Amino acid sequence: MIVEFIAILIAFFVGGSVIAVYSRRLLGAGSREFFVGGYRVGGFLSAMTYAATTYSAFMMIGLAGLTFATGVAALGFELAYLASTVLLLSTIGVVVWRRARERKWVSPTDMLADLYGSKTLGIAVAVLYLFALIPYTSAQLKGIGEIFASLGIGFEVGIIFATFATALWTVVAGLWSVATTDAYQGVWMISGSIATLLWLYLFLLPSNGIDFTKFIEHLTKGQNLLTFTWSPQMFIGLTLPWLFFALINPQVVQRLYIPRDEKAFRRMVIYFSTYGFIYTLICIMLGLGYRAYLSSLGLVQQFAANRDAVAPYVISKAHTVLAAAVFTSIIAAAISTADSIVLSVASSISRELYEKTVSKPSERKSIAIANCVTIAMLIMAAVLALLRIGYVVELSVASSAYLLPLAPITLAALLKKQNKGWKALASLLLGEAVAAYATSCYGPAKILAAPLALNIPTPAWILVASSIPLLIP
Amino acid sequence: MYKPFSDMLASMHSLSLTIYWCILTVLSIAIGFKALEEMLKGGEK
Repeated sequence: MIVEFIAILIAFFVGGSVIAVYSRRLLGAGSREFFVGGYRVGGFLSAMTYAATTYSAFMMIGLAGLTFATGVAALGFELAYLASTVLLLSTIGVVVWRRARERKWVSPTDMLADLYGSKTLGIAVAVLYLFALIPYTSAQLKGIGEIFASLGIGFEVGIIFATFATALWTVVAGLWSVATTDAYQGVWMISGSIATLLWLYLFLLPSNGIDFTKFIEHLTKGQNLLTFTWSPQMFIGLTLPWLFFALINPQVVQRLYIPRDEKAFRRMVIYFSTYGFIYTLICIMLGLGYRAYLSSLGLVQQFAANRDAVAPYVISKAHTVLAAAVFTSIIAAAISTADSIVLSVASSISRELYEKTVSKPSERKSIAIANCVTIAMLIMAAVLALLRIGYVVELSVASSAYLLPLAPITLAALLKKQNKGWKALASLLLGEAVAAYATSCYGPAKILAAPLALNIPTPAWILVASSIPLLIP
Repeated sequence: MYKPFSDMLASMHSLSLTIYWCILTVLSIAIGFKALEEMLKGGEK
């Protein structure tokens, strides 16, 4: 198994690296080219980089594990994200795309700093991105480490490989290398998930005597996983940050700038929603299939405390070549998310702390600073991953909670309801104060689902707190 | 024991929540596409 996995991983890495290096031919001069591809990315590439960026290792490991443990409520959670993202892209997204070209936005912080006319806000948001997205990046690296560990290669080796590949594919040609390798990795992700689905439902389950009726029996005995098993607090708490994901996470905000024309933007939305719908259904079906399989073996309790281990365990039962390819596709999902995050955060730091603070900024220096930030951020994320803190799912979603105060600020500015910088800063401070208070009470892994007050979960309070300053006349 | 419905039908019925989620999402996406066309047309004008 180890030999097959290493062979496929090397083939994957070489293929991605060749694409990344080749993409340098598309790269023009200047930081605008490096960070947003000069606003001239085609519809297919925009859609694939959006999909590969937004869907991470969480889907095949975290979401499948969540479905294994809690059933189809996880489908509602993930589809709510997809539906709200498509609605946001189709409305607010068009506004962002147009303004980005008119106002020459490059980094995600450019949008808020420009709309509010506040440099301080831009810097504050850049620092927030750095703080909130290191755990998110770390969760991706951790996912890769877990795969290496499950194959007996070593958790640390996985972290080092993931850090190196992410750094390389980011610094080679900026957005161009990230977007083209994202498209390549997006193909790996969907192919890997389809292969797993076919193997699970056409081979593993039937060969264990599980037909459709038995499948339903395994899912409904004891706790009925085909009903809504989550508490309302858990559903609202986990879903709310993801409803606004498209507006608050810099790696996806930056992707709204890149389509070259209206046709490309339309294609991006249509292709992304198709990809997202199919990929979500597959990952949920995998989680349900894993449950039926492990239930038939009486192994459900064994994974109760570590649901992220379910997918690697079941996949390792497949033919070694198939298992190795699927593990590689999960690694692709993690790297394609991590490189987009580090590029967007690095561009924000470089724009806010260098380009906008010196009188004659050098674009070459700006790119060099962004590359240094990329590497520093990846090293910090790797160290955090090595400490093995929390579940992948909670870590990913907790990052969104810290970014949630950006939702009211962004919406108010784009809808022209607010443009006073001090109000946006006050909004940000209040929202972060609530998030920090909830973290101190419940810890980062539980801040989303835990009711902070009046039986209402923390994310709702974060939204309320960060909206208050914007409502002051 | 009298069974008004076959096991298969009963099993399919228990998948109704999943089907409901999917229909709701497809409708939302369709509304999104409609809104997208309107937004892009608005820009052309």
